[in-house]
Amino acid sequence: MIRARALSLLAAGALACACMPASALNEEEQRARIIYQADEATHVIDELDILYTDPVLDAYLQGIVDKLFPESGGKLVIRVFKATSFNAFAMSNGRLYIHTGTLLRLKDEAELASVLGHEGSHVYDDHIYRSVSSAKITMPILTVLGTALGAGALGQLAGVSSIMGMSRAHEREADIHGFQRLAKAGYDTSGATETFRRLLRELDALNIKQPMFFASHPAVSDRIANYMAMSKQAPPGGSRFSDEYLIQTASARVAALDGILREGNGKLLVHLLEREDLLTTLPPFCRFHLAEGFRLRNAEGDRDKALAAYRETLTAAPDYAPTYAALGKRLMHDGDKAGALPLLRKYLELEPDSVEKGFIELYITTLEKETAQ
Amino acid sequence: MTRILKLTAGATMLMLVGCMTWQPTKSQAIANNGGKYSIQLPAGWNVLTFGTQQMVTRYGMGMQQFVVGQTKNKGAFGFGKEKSDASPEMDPRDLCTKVVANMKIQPNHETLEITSVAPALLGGRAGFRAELTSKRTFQADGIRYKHLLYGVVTPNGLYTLHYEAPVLYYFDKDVAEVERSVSTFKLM
Repeated sequence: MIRARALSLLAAGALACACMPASALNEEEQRARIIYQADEATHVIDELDILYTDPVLDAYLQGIVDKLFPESGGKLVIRVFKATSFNAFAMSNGRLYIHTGTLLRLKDEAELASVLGHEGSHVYDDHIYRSVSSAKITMPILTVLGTALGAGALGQLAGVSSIMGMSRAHEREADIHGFQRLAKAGYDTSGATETFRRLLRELDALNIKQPMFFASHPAVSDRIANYMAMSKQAPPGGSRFSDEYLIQTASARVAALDGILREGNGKLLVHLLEREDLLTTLPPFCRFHLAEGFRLRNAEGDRDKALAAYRETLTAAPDYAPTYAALGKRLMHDGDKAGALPLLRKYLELEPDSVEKGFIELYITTLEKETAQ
Repeated sequence: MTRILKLTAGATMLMLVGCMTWQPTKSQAIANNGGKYSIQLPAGWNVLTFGTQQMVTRYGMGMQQFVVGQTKNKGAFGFGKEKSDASPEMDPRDLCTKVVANMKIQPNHETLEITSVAPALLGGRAGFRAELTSKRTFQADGIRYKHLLYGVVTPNGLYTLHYEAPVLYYFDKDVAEVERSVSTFKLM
């Protein structure tokens, strides 16, 4: 709570900084200041080791941006943020950021292009300057702060809102122009609708109220309706490039999944891997994350589901070490000492330099003594 | 953990208003009756006691610090609706995961990563000893820190002993003194 308040104060500071004496500046000065702030934020982001650095992935994403905005000529630069939330955002200097968490949730290039088309349109439609000049903006700097400072309350809030973080008119405009670019680039335009449907399902599943910073914010459901209406008028067909997307983003998507696990968010793991059926788009060892999701969520029946998922992972990915440790510990706590021992031994065999080696060795020694008696 | 946040906020306020209550540490074990523990803190450092928490530093908070504290088991982890309890039955490895997850909520600790975790006896009870690294995210300088964290749960509460200092020069300089101090930790 205190942290949330502290972050709110910081955000308020950033907001004050972004909105302060706009009237005292002429347009040129105001634009220069906005660009300066964006460049500063870009510098902070670059310095903080919070980007997911993969030149091959960057090149792939940049290719999609360039396809959507062929006139860009290097104006728009895309980078990947190491963050688990469903988010992407644009800055006035043309930097676009997409979270690894967004890459995880999307299933093909058409869906990704719908997000990038939307964010790029904010830059091309001059929304950031227009929002600042009418003193309505909070998102770019607030989002950078919120995200850079972690996935706490503000981080989550800002995380969702920067996908829909400006006024109703600007968001709608970016939706329309992003959609037009999606169609023009030859993508299947239904990707845009599906992306927002997925966001809505997640908000519902996790019982997150749709963020409403301003009364004028469009609701996710309204935007789904808008995309559906636009899709009806768009030519049918278009490409989705599912295989290419899954290959290029595989490592980043697994990194996001690992991040959600480290955050201990079992509810989200189960929602994404089971309800959204992302397991089919991920390497076989990711069934382990589903098992951990059940363990962490700990709802009725989850213990058995976790056990089953661990065992399935052993079959699907027999060389994936964490499954042996997790299942071994689970069996040990359940009193199945004979079952736990070989699993823990196998874990150390596969992962001799594990950070928890000391504990595993202690468990093995204890189990050996107990089973010998 | 919320207590630590309150403590940090309180200490900052006190420093800002110039109302310092820092005391030099003594060369004998000091009992914290509220927290039901005693410890001999590194001699010659400065300590600020807030209830069951003791903040100790040689050079100044933020630069280098050692925080010893006890929190109630009820609602020890998480915040808001997501709060959960600590319990003496917890596996120390799981306890470490929970304590670190709680620490990651705090500013500047978002990038905490466990580099090793091992069983340890703390006040004669089975707990954990973990080494961690982090990078300051509040400023753009991104200074790298190293952490030493001990934890144990008893029916009286969750006890954590957390030393953190910059990797460069400071951590290694005082870690031996901290380890000596940890070895004097007793549960009452």
